[in-house]
Amino acid sequence: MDEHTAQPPASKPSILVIEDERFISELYTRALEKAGYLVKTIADGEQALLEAVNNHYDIILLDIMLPTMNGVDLLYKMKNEHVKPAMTSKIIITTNLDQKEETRTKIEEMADGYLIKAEITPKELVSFVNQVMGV
Amino acid sequence: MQYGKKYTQKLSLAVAIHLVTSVLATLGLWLGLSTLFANDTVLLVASWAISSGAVISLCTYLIVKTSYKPLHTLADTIIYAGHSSRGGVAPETEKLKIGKEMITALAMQVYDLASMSTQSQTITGTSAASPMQAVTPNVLDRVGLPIFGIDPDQNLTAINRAACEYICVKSEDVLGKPFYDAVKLSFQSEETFEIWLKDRQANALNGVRLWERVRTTDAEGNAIKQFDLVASFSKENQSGTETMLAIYDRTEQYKRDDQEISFVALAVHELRTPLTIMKGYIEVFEDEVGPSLNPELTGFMHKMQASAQQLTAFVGNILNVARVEENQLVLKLQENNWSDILKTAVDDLALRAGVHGKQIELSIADNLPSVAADRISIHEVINNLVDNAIKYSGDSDKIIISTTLNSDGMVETGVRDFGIGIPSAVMPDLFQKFYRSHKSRVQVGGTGLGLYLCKAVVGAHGGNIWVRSKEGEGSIFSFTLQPFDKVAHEQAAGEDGIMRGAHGWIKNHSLNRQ
Repeated sequence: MDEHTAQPPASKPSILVIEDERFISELYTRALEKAGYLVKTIADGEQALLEAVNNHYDIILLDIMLPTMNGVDLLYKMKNEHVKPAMTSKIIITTNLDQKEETRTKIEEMADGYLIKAEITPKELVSFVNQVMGV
Repeated sequence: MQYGKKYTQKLSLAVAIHLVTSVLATLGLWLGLSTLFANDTVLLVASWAISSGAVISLCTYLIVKTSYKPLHTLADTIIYAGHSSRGGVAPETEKLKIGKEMITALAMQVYDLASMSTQSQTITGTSAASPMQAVTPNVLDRVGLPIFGIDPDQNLTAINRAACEYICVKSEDVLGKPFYDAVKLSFQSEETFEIWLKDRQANALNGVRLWERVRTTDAEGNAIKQFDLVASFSKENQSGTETMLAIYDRTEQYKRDDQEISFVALAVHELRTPLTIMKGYIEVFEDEVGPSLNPELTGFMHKMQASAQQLTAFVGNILNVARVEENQLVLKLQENNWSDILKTAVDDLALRAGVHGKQIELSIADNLPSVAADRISIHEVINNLVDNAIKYSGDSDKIIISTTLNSDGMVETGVRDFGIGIPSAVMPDLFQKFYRSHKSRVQVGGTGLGLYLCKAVVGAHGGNIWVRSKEGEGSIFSFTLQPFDKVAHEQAAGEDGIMRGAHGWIKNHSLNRQ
């Protein structure tokens, strides 16, 4: 498990990075913090679900391959089951997994963005997040 | 019965024409001769009688010949069918001017009877004493290949034991039922069996066609069986069976091919995470250390970056080829400004070109309409073509991308290098998949894979891709895209794009089945 919490003023938009690959979460955290976001990272599926349900985040970056609960189930639970009232966080899928077309379409319908990690750099991730935030 | 009537009509017409011609000819002769021999009545009558006799004989001969020809053809057919060895050439009924339909139908019946009697002799040892209907399926059952017979309405009229086992049905459950319900086929080629059959039925008396890599699929579209399929069509066959289909199973072999690419994809997939990480840290270094580096080190940094990009593109290619193979690469064509896409692509490629000492020149015509394109996939096409141009441009430092509206109203884009060119011997293999032609892989390096993907992607866009090249002078790879307004009507209401499969499997029964 990899946890990394920053402590800037609460007015900063907050991001939950759910990612079990240490180096990638380090890179993303660094780039997002430099861009002025408040970042928390969690590497475990079930813990991430608890965190996402109990605390508000403006954006959630969600990997698909995760320990204890995979990202697709996690996405489904966040969108449908556990959350009342409905969660307002924007969810961006960040994965290197190759999905079957139907699976991907289903995921894309539930999420607010879908990124292949190998095809973007941290800076490109930041500009995508900015776009989703409407910055 | 219809045929007989038609034959009588046509023959009567022919006889009438001949008779009228001969009467007119004799009259003409009389007129001509009477001016010639005006003074000599005896000579006039004698010469007229002789020449008229000749004309009438000729017409009689022609009438007899015309009416005898169908009979002659039929006689030939019977003799031909009677020879057990079936040497020689079958008489061509199609060439008949009169009685074609009748003789064709009769000939079919003769062939049917001949084949049935041969079969009954071989199987039962007796001549045609036993009921033929009962014998024919027996013969088919002895054939190890799955065989189907279907009538003009595409209902199953025959199915042998091997076929029942192959598609897991009982013959009594499917006989007489629509063929397409019993056997659900998917094809790789545009011309599916159904399309081919419709064309044959409308335009031909017979025909044979082979399809490779046909499959039956389950509800999820996964291949159950893969095989080669042969269809043989002969029109108006009196037995009721118009088309025969035979299957040669190749499930194992084709599965091995698929597994080969799936395995490569699986292995390559593992490169993605380390690549993501490398690219990420290189970017951090470039941002934070880059400005203080000397030009040589900046160059090294760029080379690292360019190589990581190249590897990413390579991984993307392989995964996409695997997707094409599994019918999973679906493109969404949207209205796009082509020069925007090109400019973005060239910006992305500038670093890669730069570290190899190449410069990309972009020339865009100003009358381009917006195109129907899937941004990501078409970006990959440009990537591949420019990567190749970089790889094969030798000592020259220029790559030219130019785009115009061509005379067919398509947006045509060419990527030109001035490098080593392509040996003409490998040109035909260029757009083939690498694992199919190991030989060309050796000759042209890794290009086959990328170009194969380019072809699938451009094809799904409704465009073409081709190459012109001269050894020692360079190559131009060109492809076309459709203007969006040409395909806009395909966009369903409420959708924001047109979905297209790249090189997908085409279901046989998708055309007009309810």
